Amino acid sequence: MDRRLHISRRAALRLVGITGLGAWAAACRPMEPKPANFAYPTPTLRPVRAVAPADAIERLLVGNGRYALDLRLNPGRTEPRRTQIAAGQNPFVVILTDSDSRVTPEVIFDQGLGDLFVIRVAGLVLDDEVLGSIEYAVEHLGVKAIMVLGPERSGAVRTALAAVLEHQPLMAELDPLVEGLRPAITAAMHRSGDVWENTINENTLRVAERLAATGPLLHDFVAIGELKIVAGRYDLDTGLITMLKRPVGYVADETHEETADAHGSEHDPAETGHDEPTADAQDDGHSETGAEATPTTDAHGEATQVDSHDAATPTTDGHGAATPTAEAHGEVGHAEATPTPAAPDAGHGDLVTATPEATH
Amino acid sequence: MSQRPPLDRRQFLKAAVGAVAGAVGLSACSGELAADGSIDPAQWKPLPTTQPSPTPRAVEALTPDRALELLLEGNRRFQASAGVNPDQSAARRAAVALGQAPLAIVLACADSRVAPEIFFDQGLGDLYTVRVAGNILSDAVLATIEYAAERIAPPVLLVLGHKSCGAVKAAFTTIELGAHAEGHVQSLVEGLRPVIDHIMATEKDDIVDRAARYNAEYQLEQIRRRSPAVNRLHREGAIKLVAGYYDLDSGAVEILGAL
Repeated sequence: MDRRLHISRRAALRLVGITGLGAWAAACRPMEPKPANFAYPTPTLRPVRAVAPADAIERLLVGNGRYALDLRLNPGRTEPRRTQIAAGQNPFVVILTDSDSRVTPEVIFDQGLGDLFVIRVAGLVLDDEVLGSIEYAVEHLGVKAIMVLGPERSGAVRTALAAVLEHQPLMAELDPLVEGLRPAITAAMHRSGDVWENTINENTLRVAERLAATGPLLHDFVAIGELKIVAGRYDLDTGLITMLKRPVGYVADETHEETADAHGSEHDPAETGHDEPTADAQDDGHSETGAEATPTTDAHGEATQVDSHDAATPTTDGHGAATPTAEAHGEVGHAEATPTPAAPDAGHGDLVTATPEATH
Repeated sequence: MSQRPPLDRRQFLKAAVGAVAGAVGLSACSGELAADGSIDPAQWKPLPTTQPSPTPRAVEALTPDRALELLLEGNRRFQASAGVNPDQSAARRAAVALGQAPLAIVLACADSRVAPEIFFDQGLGDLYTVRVAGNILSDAVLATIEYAAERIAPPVLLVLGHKSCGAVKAAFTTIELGAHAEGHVQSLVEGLRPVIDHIMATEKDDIVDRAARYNAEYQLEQIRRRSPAVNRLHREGAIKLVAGYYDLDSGAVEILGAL
């Protein structure tokens, strides 16, 4: 906790510095203001060939800096740009972000018409049509960079959290949202800190990782270095983008997820009526994949799952989990199965990524 | 669980930004901060589902017709290259940081030239924008619209097709050749198939643009049928369902029809 306090101060002070710089820069501008509708030309000349991945991300972050400091250029919003791109589009990046009205990519990256290929759905849920849109941009338009952007305080994520953690009933139409976010909620719910924030960041990282693993197209382009997929967090207050990365030594643990999913489905019917048939079917699917390792999904089955974890991580003490009630047993099992990073603080002090710490 | 440090990073940043943004920022930021930090699953308390927006324009009750008129006014500014890029400053960011009350839900294409906030000349917190190639109603898109209609309930739902839509063109080519698109792009083709089939049966030329127009109306009708929240708001007269068409050359948004 002491360490975290120091980091907070450092990051805060740094931002105060940036903000002060912005105020100073704003004060240094000419006294005679440009008319409100004045449009500057697009800052960089549009290359005929696609923009390289690293350049695309850099251009986004530079534009975001202009926006956060209130030094927007508002490029590419007038008639010349419109006619320039009317015949065909040549975006330099794909943005996948939330539909939230406060997270407008063209504004928060200070880009213009024809610059960003934008897909926006609540909770960044990946379905076939969303994947198809991204593949279309990569394959047909030659885009070489994708930024997955999760906004702070997403209302859609909160709705899914309420549905999963409190079993708040929702319309069946919202199932894709809840089910899309369920893995991230399951992974984030036992971490220390703000569940809402942790779920958003975990989901953003997961979506980026899933995109990079989606075959054949995206996976292949990533493999040959022709496509870069990054994850970011948008701060609603400062307007700044923070890049999200996994902590050093983080290993995605699929078995843990399966255990957690089986755990969730086991407790769903026991609590309030969670009676959407599709959700149940999905949960059953999860249980079955979990059952490949363990034949049953009752408390005994979970114990086997946790034991196999303990075998993998010899430092944890599996015998402490022998508590009388099944529920408490499950909780302890989860806490011990949470992967602990080998070096959680190596150079990642200012990342907002929640380090998966076990909660005891 | 853990205890919060006395100086929380987020609060500190908010104070810093608020100081720069001025009184508006500070008054908007100081309220509910303690409530949304460190939420424990055991102590989870949902906030009110409709968060009032502090902006005066959003607080005043906008009729659906007035909201649509505001959008079209913004589009006329854009067409004349006289956009004012409203609501994009740090002060606006602070004002909407804790809640949104957008004018409209807009379902538009992912095409980089079809940025609704730019051609309606709107800013942060003004448009709840859903974008997917071919502006088709996938399951995730339906969930997004259902969520927005139920929890945010803007006065307008606008589905926008646009000229020279690459997704419609790709779907048309694929269907005409009887081919199969690569990877997940095929699901876009399937989403557009009813539209393309209908247009190919009735029209001879200019199929791509005609299909894009018909697609906007078709998807709007699909939303009204499949989204219970939109249907309910529509019956109550609280939301206006509009299909539109964006012309890439002139920059004009044409209203195709309203339900």
